[in-house]
Amino acid sequence: MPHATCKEKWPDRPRGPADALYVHVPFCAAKCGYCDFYSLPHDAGRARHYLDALAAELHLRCRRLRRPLESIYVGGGTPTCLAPEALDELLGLPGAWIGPHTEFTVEVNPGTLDDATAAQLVSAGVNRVTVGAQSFEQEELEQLGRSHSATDIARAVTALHRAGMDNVALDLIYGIPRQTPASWRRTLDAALAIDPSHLSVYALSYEPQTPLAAARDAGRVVAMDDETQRDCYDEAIATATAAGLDHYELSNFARPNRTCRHNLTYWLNRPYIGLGPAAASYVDGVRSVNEADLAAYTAALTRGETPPHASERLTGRAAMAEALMLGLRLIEGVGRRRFADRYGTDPLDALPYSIGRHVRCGALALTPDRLRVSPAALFVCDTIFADILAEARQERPRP
Amino acid sequence: MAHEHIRNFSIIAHIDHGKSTLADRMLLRSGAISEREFHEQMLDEMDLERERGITIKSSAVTIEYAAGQRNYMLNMIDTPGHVDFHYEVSRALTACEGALLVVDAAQGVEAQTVANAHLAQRNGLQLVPVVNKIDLPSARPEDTAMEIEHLLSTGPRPSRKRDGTPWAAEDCIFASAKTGEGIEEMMAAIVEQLPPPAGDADVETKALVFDSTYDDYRGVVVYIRMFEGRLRVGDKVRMIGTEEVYQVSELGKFAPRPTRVQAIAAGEVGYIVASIRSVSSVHVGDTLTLADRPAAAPLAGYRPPQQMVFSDFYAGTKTDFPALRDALEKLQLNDAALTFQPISAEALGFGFRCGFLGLLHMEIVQERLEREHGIEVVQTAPTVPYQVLTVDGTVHEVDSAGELPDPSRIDEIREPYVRADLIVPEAAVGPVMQLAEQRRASFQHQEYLSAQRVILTYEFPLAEIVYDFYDKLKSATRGYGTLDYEVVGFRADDLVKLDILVNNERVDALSVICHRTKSEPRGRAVIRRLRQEIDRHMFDIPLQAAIGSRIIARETLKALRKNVTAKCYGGDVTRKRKLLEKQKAGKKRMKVVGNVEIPQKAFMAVLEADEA
Repeated sequence: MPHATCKEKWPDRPRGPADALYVHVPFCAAKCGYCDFYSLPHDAGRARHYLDALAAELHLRCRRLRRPLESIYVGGGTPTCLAPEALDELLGLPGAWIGPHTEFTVEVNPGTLDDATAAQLVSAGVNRVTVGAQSFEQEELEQLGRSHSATDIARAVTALHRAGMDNVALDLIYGIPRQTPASWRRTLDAALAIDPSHLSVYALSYEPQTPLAAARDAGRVVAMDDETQRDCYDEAIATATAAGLDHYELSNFARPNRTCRHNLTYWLNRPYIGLGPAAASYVDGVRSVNEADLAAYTAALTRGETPPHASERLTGRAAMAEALMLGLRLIEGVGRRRFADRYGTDPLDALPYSIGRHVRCGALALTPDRLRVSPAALFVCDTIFADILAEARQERPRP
Repeated sequence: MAHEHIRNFSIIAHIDHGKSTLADRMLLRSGAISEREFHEQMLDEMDLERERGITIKSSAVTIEYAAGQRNYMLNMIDTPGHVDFHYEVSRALTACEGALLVVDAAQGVEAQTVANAHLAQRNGLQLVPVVNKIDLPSARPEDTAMEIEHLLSTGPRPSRKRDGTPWAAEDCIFASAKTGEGIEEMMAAIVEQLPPPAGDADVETKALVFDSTYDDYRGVVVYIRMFEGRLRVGDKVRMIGTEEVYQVSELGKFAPRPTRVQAIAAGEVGYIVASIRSVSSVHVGDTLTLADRPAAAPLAGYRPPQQMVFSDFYAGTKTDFPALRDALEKLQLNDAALTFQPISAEALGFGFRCGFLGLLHMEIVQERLEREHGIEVVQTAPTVPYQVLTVDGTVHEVDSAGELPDPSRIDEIREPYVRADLIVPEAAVGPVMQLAEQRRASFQHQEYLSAQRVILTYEFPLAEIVYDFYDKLKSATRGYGTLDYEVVGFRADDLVKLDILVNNERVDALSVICHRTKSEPRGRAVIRRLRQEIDRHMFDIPLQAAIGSRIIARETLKALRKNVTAKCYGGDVTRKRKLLEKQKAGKKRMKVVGNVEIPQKAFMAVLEADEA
């Protein structure tokens, strides 16, 4: 049963309170050269203000949180770079929304995870840890500006296992400058040897204004060509599925029942609340993103005000196109019936030209029940999404 | 006024040789206008022509001139100054008994000088040669006069003075419209050298329509030269060509401003107003007669305007289709030679296939749309009309490749040919001949105008010179070469329909008619441009050029290998969506053929593809 891992087992309740909570920890010991997520150097004083503000934001927004939650996800930044007391305080904040089935994930950096931290996570109720391994090749880790070494990864995973954590996910990156298909294969093998419950493989992206992008523009590093990246992607699929992991999303693989519930809320277009600077939320049909500015964030919440944020509400075909952009990332695709229940129309009727064209050329597969991206088109799926979004923005042609 | 005191004449000259300033100078000299009214090129009514220094619409003016004891009425009929308006020039000349042949002393005789002089000679017009701009430091008046002598002694019907002796270089009038020098002699020569009109005021009325303009309040104003009979206000008149009948509500002459009169008689020039709604019902060259006492036959030489260049106009990004249509309709009120019909190429939206007399006419229309109506157009490269003889023996007019009948029904395809005079410096003859050979030209003859300047006469397929030939000629002659041409008919040749296939499907809007020998380089150029303009898709796209079922050129646009946002931006869906929307930004107009999106820009680029 290849596509059965994330059958839409939850009722669709887009209008209800959020099923998932994200907490953004905007601190790192050191910034990686490729990363454009919001983070600042860790500082105890700053962390204090941040935690107070975080508690205030939770208080302001808790009425729109379902109790208990399906998922709590603490990411960053590097949550584990907080001092132990601060980390305890942070992990204790959502305690009232944790139920017996809540998935509680924390992102860890292998360099900052020891036995004590592992034990602390487990005792705080964390039941899933995602380890930012990225690569098992020392040279590649240096290229990325990661502060940990290849051996740190194994050590961190061992510490987690010793602490009783059985749900350990690994993140890997391909497309690193000077990475080769052979070195990528070694990384994949090393990762699978650890037997993770979940594996994410992301293509390195050169985000504007990052040191890595500047180095590429200055000719100091050479980006991996698209052809090789595609080979790496295909290799990841072959290796991971051969190891018994199910390829359930564009970049994600999981053991049975170990899909990432948190990310599924995004892909299934369900409501979530993000706390912290730069965190994104989607509640009551409104998408909002807090400003990436810790000082402004804490200042507003100290005054008891909502932190500065940008928001928008999409309706009609724009909302449908966005839902497809998310849902089609799942290998099983989008359930047509479920889509129609939510939006009142079949996707093919709403966006006939873009979908029709990609179905005709084989990039999309349409069955009576589902619409999904064909395996060969996964690595160019943004072309499909861009076409669908563009059609949604056009006026509907007159019949 | 008795006929002996009337002179009807034109001024013929190459562009920029000073025709309009000379006309103004005569008006000033005769007192027809005051110093205050004297401004440059007052005969030209449109900004556009003032800027381009050329005359687009002809007009007419009457100058009173006293010589000795006698008063003369000099009717000057202005002619459009460009090859595109060849027919209009010929009709204007038909309205005259003579012409001033004006040549720039610094430039010498040029292609249009020759073309217009020959045209006047063929029409039996008496000529008065004038060397203008003698005040210029670079003027070579004597050399120019020698070239004129040579020109007038050759041609279809060598010109002579009124006393029957040939024109010599020293007979030329040396003038400067700028300083006024020579104007007196020029006006005296008009009276002495040009014959008065013939024609009987008491027979059936025949008047030549030589121009028309549109007036918002009165409708069409028709410019006429009376050849026989007379016209009065209230008369019912009939256009012999169009068979339409109108009642004359106003008659006038030009003095130089339009001045109402009660009657016009044979030999005179004037205008009529008769509640005519559109200039398209008035054809230049048509004959006007009285409805209740009609002439038996029209004046010779009439033919309806013939569009020789076609281009598709689409509304640009800032303009919508109805605005473009309204603007074209308004322009057509004043420009009977402009035709347009709606077309819809899916790729480009709705537009119009417009027909023009020639390339300049096309440029003028485009500029007027922009200036007078604020309309921005996207236009395709110009093409020419073809005639197709089908196996059943009928001939079809075709102005785009899409209109061609099925190949099995085609007996032959004919294309318009022109006879072109190229006047070039002697040193540039080699490069110009090489250029002509590349354009399928057939050499007719070569003649030395002077030791340094040569007239090369060729016959060209119009399609070969319609696009960029003039630019190429200019660069081959360092800017000194000039060109004039006249359509001489349609000729069959080995013409084929070149199809372009994208992903194995024919794209109609990209098909062109071209000569078989040009089809391969052209096909290659087109698919090379397409490969640059079409984005990679999720599959390999074959791009092919074909004649019938035979592929003559092929390239493959390789499939896109990667276009994926692997990570998910921590739930910031808006950011991801906006990044994706950017991928399609600025690519709104796409035509989908064979599952391939072809941007509008690709169509334009392809139509402009240069096979060189």
